Formats: sequence, structure tokens, C-alpha cells
Amino acid sequence: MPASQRTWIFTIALIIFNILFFWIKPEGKAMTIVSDILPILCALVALGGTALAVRSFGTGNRARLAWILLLTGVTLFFCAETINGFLEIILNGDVNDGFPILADYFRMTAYIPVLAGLLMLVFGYKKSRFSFGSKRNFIFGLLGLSLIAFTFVHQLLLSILRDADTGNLAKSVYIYYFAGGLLITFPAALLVYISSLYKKAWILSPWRYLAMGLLCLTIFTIEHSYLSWNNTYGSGNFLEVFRNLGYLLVAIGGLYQKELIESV
Amino acid sequence: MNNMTDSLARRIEIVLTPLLGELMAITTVKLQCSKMGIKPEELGYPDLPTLAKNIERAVIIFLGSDKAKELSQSIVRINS
Repeated sequence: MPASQRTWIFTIALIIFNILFFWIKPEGKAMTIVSDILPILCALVALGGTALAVRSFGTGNRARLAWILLLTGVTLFFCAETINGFLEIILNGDVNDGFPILADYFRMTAYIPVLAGLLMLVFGYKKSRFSFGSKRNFIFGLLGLSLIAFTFVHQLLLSILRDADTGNLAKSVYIYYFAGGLLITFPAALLVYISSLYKKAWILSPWRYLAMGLLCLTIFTIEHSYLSWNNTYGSGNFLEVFRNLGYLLVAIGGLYQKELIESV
Repeated sequence: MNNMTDSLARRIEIVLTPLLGELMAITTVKLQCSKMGIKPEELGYPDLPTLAKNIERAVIIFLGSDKAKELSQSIVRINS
């Protein structure tokens, strides 16, 4: 059974477990431990998937470089999750205290190579002169996404910026998360759109799942930022399912990329 | 109408279909032929190396340079 298929089975099983566990809401530290271990595990799987994708490319070229950048970003996300987990499980700390914490700096740094990798893929596609579909659909989609993104971010971010109790450093980090999330959303959504133009094209499957995964992670990060600021976020929030699913989809994208290259 | 060249474009699409899917394979052949200033039905064996090279460049962002080259070589081999 190909690794991608095994990862799909693992993904479905883990997400079902995640949802059930959070629904049951066990007492004590179990919730914190599971809530912290799951993203570490999922980020590690994502790291493995993207690393295998990088290795499959062989000699250096733009496609390999794009995936190296994505791998770098995923590695930094993994570091952030591990630091979070260490802080909460081993040191019994609260990651919501003293925002931003060390994990946030890893997470913020991750945005840079992830964005660069996505843009390389988008511009590589443009250079290949494959179609972007009908101009009308493309423009409407772009406007629609811009409107949703702007409304979403505007509502959430404005509340934070107006809060006199939130320090300037924290506000800067929130702005960064929101802006970084928005910037990643556009090329990721574009890759999903491109892959929808040719649904049966195996060659586009890696990008489809990679981009869907990154969109899930972005949604989580933005929403998590707002809820944390609002002190309404705690371990066991169902939003975490998005994050875990995001990592696993990234892993599947990487594995599809590896299998695609090996099939040629 | 030259049946040999009709089937050449179709044979290239068949080579590409497992990776690109039928729609993208057809689109790719049409697009690359148009870049060369010819129609798919006008495609001849002398055009194969150029077409293969163009397709190699188009898919390089998906497959990397090594595998894109292998794909283009499998297209050129249609000639033999």
C-alpha cells in the first residue's frame, strides 16, 4: 500500500479520535497532553512527507527549491509545536501567558519560507503557460476571496488593535499573524483553484493537498490568535482539528509528490 | 488529412495522460503545438524533439528537471 494511502487512513483515524476526544472532554491533564501531543505528531508527519518530496527530486532545480522552502517552513512549525508542548506538558506553563512566546517566533519565521515556496510554485505554473481557467472565474474568485479575507481580518484584527490592554509587541505579532496568514491564503487558494481546473491530473494532486493543508493551518492560526487575545481559547478547542488536519494534508501532498516523481 | 500525424498527436496525449489526465494532456499538446505555430494535426516526426523540449519545460515545476527530461525522452522515443 503506498505511503500516501497509509497516511490517508492515519489521517481519518486521527481526526476521528481528535473529534471524539475533544467531545468527551476528559478531566485533568489528559486534555492538555492530547491537545499538545497531536499537533507535534501531525507536524512530524508533515515534516516526513515534505522531506520525502524534497529527496525525490534528485538534482537541484526550482521545483526542488520550492519544496525545500516548504520543508523549512514545516520544520519551523514542528519546532513551534514542540516548544508549545514542552512548555505546557513538562514545565506546566500556560502558552497564553506572556504572548508572544518562543514558539510564536518559530511560527512567524515559518511563514516566510512557506510563502516563498508557494509563490515559486505559482510562478512556475505561470511560466509553464498552462491555463488559469476563464478570466471571469479567476477575477470573481480573486475578488470574492479578497472580500472574505478582508472582512474576516478587519473584524478580528481591529478589535485587537483597539484594545488598550494589549501591548505593542503583542499587537505587532497579531498583525504579523493576520498579514502572514492572508499572504499565504492567496497563493494557496490559487493552487487549489489551479488543481480544480484539471481534476483528473495526478500531476496536480500534490499541490491540491499541500495548499488545502496550508489553508487549514492559516485558518487555525488566525482564529487562534483572536481567541487567545480574547481569552476564550483553551486546550480541546475544536479549532485544533483544523490545525492537525492541515499538517496531515501537507504530509499527503508531499507523499503524492514523491509518488508522482517515482512513477515517471 | 494525414492519418499518421493525427495519431502522432494522439500518441503523445496517451503518453502524457497517466500523469496529466486526459484534459490536461490534450490541452498541453494543443498549447505546445500553438507555440510552435502548428496545429496538432500538422505535427510531424521532425517536430517531436522541439515539442518534447517544450513539454519538458512546461512540466519541470511539477516533476523537477530529471523526471521532466525523462518524460520528454519518452515523447521523442515515439519516433522509434
